[in-house]
Amino acid sequence: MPTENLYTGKHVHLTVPDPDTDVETESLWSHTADYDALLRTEVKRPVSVHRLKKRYEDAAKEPQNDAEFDFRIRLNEDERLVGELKLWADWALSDAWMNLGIGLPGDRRKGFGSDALRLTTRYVFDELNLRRITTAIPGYNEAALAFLTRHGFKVEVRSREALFRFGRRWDSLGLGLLRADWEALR
Amino acid sequence: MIDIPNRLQGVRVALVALDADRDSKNYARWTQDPELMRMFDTSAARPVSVRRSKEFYERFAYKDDAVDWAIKHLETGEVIGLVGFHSIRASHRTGDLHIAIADGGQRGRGLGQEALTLALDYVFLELDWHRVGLNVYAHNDRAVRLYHRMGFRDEGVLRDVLLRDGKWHDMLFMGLLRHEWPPDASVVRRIHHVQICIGAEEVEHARAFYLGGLGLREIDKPQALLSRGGFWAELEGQQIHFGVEQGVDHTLTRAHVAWQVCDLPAWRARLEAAGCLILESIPIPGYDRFETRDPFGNRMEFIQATQ
Repeated sequence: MPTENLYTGKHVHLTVPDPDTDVETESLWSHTADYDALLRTEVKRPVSVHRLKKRYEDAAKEPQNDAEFDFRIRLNEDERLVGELKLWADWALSDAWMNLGIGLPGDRRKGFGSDALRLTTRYVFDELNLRRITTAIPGYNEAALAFLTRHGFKVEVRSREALFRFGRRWDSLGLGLLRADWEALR
Repeated sequence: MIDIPNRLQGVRVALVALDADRDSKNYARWTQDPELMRMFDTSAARPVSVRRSKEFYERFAYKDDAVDWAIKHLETGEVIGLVGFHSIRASHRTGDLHIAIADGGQRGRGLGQEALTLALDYVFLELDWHRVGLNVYAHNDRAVRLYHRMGFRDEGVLRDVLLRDGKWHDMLFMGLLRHEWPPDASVVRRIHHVQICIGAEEVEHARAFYLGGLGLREIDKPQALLSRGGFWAELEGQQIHFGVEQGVDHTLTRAHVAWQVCDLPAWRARLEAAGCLILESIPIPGYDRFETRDPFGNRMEFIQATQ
């Protein structure tokens, strides 16, 4: 029988987004130099508070998508929003596509990401009962590569020269964590 | 005045705009072909009505990050499939390919290759893309062969990712860069197989040594070549052919295959136990290695990347 709360770790817990309070912080993330560049391949652009509010309002009108899981990462001590976790389940492949990010540089390297990733893997393998987690990172994000491999992820795909940033081409890396590898690490 | 090419018009096929009215009827019919739908994507195959298909076409004909064309067979005027790109990243000049020759009767006639050539010419020569990626199920032989022929290189594999009919299948990832298109016909492409020669009376011994001992997997030899003796094996998508040759002393040549392993000391011990004489190789950076001879006199190298 589980004794731990599925959503609560040592430093952080996972919650649903709170449109009223989260938009300020999320807009701030989009204005920092590195957040989008480290995680995303889309053109990065700052997003206004107004636009984020509108996005939340529009999303609320859509029916709930059973394959999509949108969490916010908050500190246990004061509920401060520090990051986000998005999962998309592919039931046929038994795979969860994962986007995990800690928003501000000052909140990184403090164990929040590791804590959130432990909650994520437990949620995917023990609650959603999927077989694997997939994520992708730009080749220049060495911190993310070290972080993910420390938690058992393996590089499965190297898409050659898939990205152009900072004046040159970079590979994009696809990483996967299999249930068996996760169980072996526990 | 330059001669303006019509990049979407080929000899036997043309790439034409999607038409929700026309294509939804085709698509509804194609979804009745489970083998097609099972190769096409990861979702469970299911028949889709014309009405639902039309909604689907109306949605996906006008997306920013995707482009799709119907493949029109010029001789019959029929639409036989579709080709396009998704996950387009305009700022990186990349996109991912999808293609299906949906009309079963038109497969295996090179029409897919022609449609793919038109689509790749379009994105590389018109849109100045840098890269096209794709993924494909490893058991979709025809598609894998087509992509390799077009110059796509293997970039990764997700093992045991799809369960169908009680069997797990791999998904392959491939990529093609601008400077690799069109494939340079004057340069050889990749190693398809190497041949290791043995004596006619050594075939069963070689099977035991290479299949049982080294772990190669035997594959069927074409009927027409069976009478020559020997056998074929496969490793990581490449073939090793064991051919019969008489009156040749293999110990006289330094020609060899190098087998990459992940526990070199264990291999050394195992081969010694099997009676092979181990010789140290001259050290090279990044690798540990030794050499020996197989029971038939062929030189072999065993090599492992250092940490």
